[in-house]
Amino acid sequence: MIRLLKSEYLKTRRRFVFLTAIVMTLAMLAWTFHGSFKGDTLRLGWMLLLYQMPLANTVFMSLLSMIVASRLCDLEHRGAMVRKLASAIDKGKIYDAKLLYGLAVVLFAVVFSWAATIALGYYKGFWAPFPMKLYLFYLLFTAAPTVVIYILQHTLSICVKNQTVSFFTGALGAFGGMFALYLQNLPWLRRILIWGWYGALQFVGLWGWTKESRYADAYFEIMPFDWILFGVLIAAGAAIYILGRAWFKRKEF
Amino acid sequence: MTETVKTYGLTKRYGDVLSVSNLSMSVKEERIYGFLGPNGAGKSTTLKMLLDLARPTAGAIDIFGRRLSGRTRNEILKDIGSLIESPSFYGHLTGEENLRILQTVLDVPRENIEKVLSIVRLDKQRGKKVSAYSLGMKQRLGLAGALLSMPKLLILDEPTNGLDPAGIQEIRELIHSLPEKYGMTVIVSSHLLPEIDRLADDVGIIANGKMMYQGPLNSLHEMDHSKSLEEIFLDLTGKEQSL
Amino acid sequence: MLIRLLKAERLKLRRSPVWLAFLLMPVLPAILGTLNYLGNIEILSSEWYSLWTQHTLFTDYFFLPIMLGIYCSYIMHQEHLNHNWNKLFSMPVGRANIFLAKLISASGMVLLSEAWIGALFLISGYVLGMSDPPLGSLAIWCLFGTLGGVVMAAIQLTLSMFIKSFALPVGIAFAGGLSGLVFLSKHLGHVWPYSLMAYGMNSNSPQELIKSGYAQFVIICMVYIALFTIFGSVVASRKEMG
Repeated sequence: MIRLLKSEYLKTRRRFVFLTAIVMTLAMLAWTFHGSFKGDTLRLGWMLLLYQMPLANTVFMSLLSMIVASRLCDLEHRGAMVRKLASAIDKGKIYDAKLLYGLAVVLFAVVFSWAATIALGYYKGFWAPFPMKLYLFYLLFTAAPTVVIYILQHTLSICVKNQTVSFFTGALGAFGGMFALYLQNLPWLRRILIWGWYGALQFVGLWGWTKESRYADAYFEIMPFDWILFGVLIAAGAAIYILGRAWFKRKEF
Repeated sequence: MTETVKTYGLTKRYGDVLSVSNLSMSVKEERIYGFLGPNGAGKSTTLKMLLDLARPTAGAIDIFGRRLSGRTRNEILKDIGSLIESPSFYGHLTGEENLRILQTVLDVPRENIEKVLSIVRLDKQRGKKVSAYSLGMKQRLGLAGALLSMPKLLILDEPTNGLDPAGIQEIRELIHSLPEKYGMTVIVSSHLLPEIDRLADDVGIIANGKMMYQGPLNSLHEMDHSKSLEEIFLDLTGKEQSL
Repeated sequence: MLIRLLKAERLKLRRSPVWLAFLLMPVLPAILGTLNYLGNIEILSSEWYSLWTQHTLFTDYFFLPIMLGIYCSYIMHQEHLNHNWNKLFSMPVGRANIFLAKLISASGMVLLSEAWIGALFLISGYVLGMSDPPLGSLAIWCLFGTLGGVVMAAIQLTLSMFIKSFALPVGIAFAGGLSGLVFLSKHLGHVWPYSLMAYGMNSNSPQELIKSGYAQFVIICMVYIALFTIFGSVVASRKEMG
């Protein structure tokens, strides 16, 4: 397995996979921090980010998963390498090695964006205290949906040669997830969609915000964590992994 | 005898690498010209320049007695069929649909599809997706595509790549019949001497981008009776070069 | 020559149901936008115009650019695979025409999705019991959206021809869509190529229509289309099959 992972690294040289991840994460950060923080938003900064970041993650992290998975898998299809590799190694292992490598890339992006968010928060001068415990939960609740989405994208990209299939699925999913977050009055929507889970696991509620007073009287409240959904998420991830791996093993190239 | 292709001091440089150097090639009408050389000698690059897929760094090309340029390229290319490097195809479409695309762009009669399919003996596999073709079948499809417009000049780069012995024999016979049957001129490249020996009327031997010998194949046999053709070839291309 | 190339482009798309995605994609915002409109009916008082915003807001900035990026990548990827450029460029057709045929084919797809978005918009409006749709405005939104979309398609095709990767140009399209939103908020939406589609569709402020004037919008779009068609053709004609 170590050798397979190393071969994955060798294959992706000059393909700028990590660079892609960094650039997209930077874009996400620029997106989040582009407005000026002052007064009330500085006071509420830490909570405000917990409230807003899930939306950014829905778009950026799911699209990043789509792009990374496709880039890693497409190079095998292009050179018809799967056939070659499959004659030497168990196909399940090929699936696993590629998945692990890709997961490392997207999780790196998740952690990087998390750390950079905190650093930028301090830099902007958000009011203390920094809620470390909440941010650790936020990290978990960002990483988990990303892993599930990545497994799905990976499966589609490696099993279906035509990359438009995985791309359209990813784009439609991200679109749906974003919509689900935007539609506050349809809370079930974000729970039934994998891409909506960033939003469904968001645990900060905003009250007292109006168009006129903006954040002046606004306050945030911590809502109960949705552990049931988290369990569903883990189960879904495992199911997609098992089915996807079996699909790939059965498929002829 | 008129010359179908003539090049003057043809040169191609990629960065610091001189891929083709001052090459003068002469292909006579209705003959089979074997273009022979070790791998990486500059065969494909030369053929690509004939097809306007690569621009010469220096030199000029005349085809059908006309200078190849931006203005004449379409007129000239109309009468050339080609198979360069590996066959081109759209994997999600069937063999017949692939030919249909070429036929549409080339604006040739639809019956030609039937004709070339039977020439290369692909008529039974016409409805199969090309992604499911074997390498040999893809090669045949590539050949069918090259023949589709019944061109005056056919340029084939290693056409027997990936074929089994029976297929090689079959394609060889097919190529052999083309000048007589359809009045075509054929350029065939190969890195295998026996291949060219059995097929060509004339031969050009290239090594390190330079033309080492050009003329009738018979004359090559006559060059040195004490040596086998293999040895003569090795002398010309430099012994350290593998075949 | 161009007609033959266009026919060939259509033949290549057989058996690959990319159009299906364009058919599906606008349905999502139509349904969800309509539901959201229903949920917030007290705030969203300007009927058809509010509904238009609900339908198209995310579509313009995020998903139509990405879809278009995928489509253009797909068209070019087909040629990158299996040495197809070799064949295409050794055919007796001009290289500029090859690019143009692909651009026209992509533009057709943009027009179709705009028309479909418009149709879905009308259907949901009638379902909600509205009457007197702003047909004139709708036609302009869709047509100008198409024009802006063609600009984007021309850029994406050039990128996808240049970059062999499938994914990278799609990433750029995504970034482009975001940049479109930024430039629009900085009041440069009428000049930034990735903003033009959203600007033409007017989903932010549907009542106002185009501030800069129709003629200016059309001219800017045309200039961009011409610019990138020439640039794309030059990229094509200098492409060497090394």
